[in-house]
Amino acid sequence: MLKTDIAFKTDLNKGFLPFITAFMVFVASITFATALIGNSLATDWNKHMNNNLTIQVLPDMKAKNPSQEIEARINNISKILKQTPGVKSYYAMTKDETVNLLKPWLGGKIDITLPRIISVQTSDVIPLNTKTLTNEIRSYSSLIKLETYENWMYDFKNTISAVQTLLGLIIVLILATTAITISYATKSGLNINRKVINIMHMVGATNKYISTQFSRQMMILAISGGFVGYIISCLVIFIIKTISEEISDGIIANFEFSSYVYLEMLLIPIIAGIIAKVSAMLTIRKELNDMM
Amino acid sequence: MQKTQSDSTKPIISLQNVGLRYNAGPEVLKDINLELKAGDFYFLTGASGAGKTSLLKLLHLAHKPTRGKVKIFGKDIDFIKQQDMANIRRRIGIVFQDYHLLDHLSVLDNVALPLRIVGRSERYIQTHVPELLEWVGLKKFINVKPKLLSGGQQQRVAIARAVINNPDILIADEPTGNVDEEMAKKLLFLFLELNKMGTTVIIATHSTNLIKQFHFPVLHLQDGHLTKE
Ligand SMILES: Nc1ncnc2c1ncn2[C@@H]1O[C@H](COP(=O)(O)OP(=O)(O)OP(=O)(O)O)[C@@H](O)[C@H]1O
Ligand SMILES: [Mg+2]
Repeated sequence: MLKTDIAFKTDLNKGFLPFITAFMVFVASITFATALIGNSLATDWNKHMNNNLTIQVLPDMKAKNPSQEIEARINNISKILKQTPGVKSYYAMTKDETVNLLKPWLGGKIDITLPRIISVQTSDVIPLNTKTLTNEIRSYSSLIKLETYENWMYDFKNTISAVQTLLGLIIVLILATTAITISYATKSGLNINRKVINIMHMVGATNKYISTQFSRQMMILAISGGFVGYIISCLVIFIIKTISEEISDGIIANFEFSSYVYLEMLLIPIIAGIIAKVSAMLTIRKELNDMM
Repeated sequence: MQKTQSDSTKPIISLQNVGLRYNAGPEVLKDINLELKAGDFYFLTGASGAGKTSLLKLLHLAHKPTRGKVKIFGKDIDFIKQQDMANIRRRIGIVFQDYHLLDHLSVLDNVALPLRIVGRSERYIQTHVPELLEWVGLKKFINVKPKLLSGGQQQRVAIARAVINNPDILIADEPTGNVDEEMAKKLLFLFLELNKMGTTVIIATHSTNLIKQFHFPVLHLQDGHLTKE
């Protein structure tokens, strides 16, 4: 604990200020963590989905031999894929595999030519230009469906970033409320300590000295409360994480986030402490000047 | 240690035609003219309510006069900036009539206050403060809160705080009002020591005994007027 020379009487604030900052930091930390986790989920999904791309090759019923025609087209598309930068690997399901896959629904003997699927893994390193690829394949044959997740991801990302902006706004509001609360607590603290401040002035303390001492004390109170709020929010997040993992048992495997979230959340009580110090300092400076 | 204000011809404090009234009340101090030089030692007497504390307040800048001029260390207090005010106050030791100790601080921390304000090291504080407290007979009470002390003991804490930083001016309001005669004499000798090193001392007192024992000039307040005896 820092040594404060004066140790202002902060009886009134002793319970109130740490409690209020603990609460504010708790709410802000949970909000912040939600934003962070949302972020990591988004990038995670983004990665998973962007790496996958499915090409459906539909049979051309007007062809003389649709079943041969489709093999030829799959071969050609494979050639295109091989030459396309950004494609890591691809796999064209064989006819037998497709038949096997559909057996439960269509029965053992299938006469019609089935649509076929080519699944493409895109590279992490080289970006794939899906538009060019689509055009290239389309120009070759129109009986092809290309499914990327890009359109879908775009909406998803927009939603996520809107939510994150909202969460950020909430955090700013909470911190602003903290600053105002601390300013009021400081004012009442100064009133209680009017006699002390008077004596300090009498023995030659400057306003700067008094405000430094006083705001340091407010900061210690705020940080100690903020730390409690931080610990509680970490516990809550940890518990939610554990429970959700148990319930989903790997179904929502994506509710995994790095433990850095706990570290990043530590920013909140630190910011709260700085805000306490600054808003107390500004309040005291103003009040002391009015006092003189 | 020699004082900075060694020029004994220049007044360290001067009051010219000073008057003081509280709010809309009657004038409690009238046409006060006073010059204190470096190394002066004065007693200040007067009946209860005569205005001794009020006069001392003017001397240590706790109050501004309603009329007239007050100069301290050659500076007109009407034109003093906040930082200068603090600097001046650091050179003045005050023993308040009602002590004005900080209840939530220990005796040691109370006495150390003027030293901490000027940024003295903790080492300096931990050696000099206990030394002085021993001298005023409070060694046992170093870590006690003032509220647990007797009136006379609190008074000695206030005196220790006033002299700890070796002030240029010592202003003491009834500093021996609550102690026995033996202790009163001892404390007066402490003030005398400071005075010998150059501190200007002014002591408000009712004790005719002290005034008789120590042959220093006496300022007398009556009906708001100040006379030198
Ligand atoms: N803060 C104040 N507001 C209004 N009137 C005051 C204030 N302080 C002192 N007075 C009045 O000024 C007059 C002088 O008071 P002061 O305290 O200076 O007397 P004193 O000589 O110190 O008395 P004592 O010997 O009892 O300490 C008194 O009539 C008192 O009522
Ligand atoms: Mg008095």
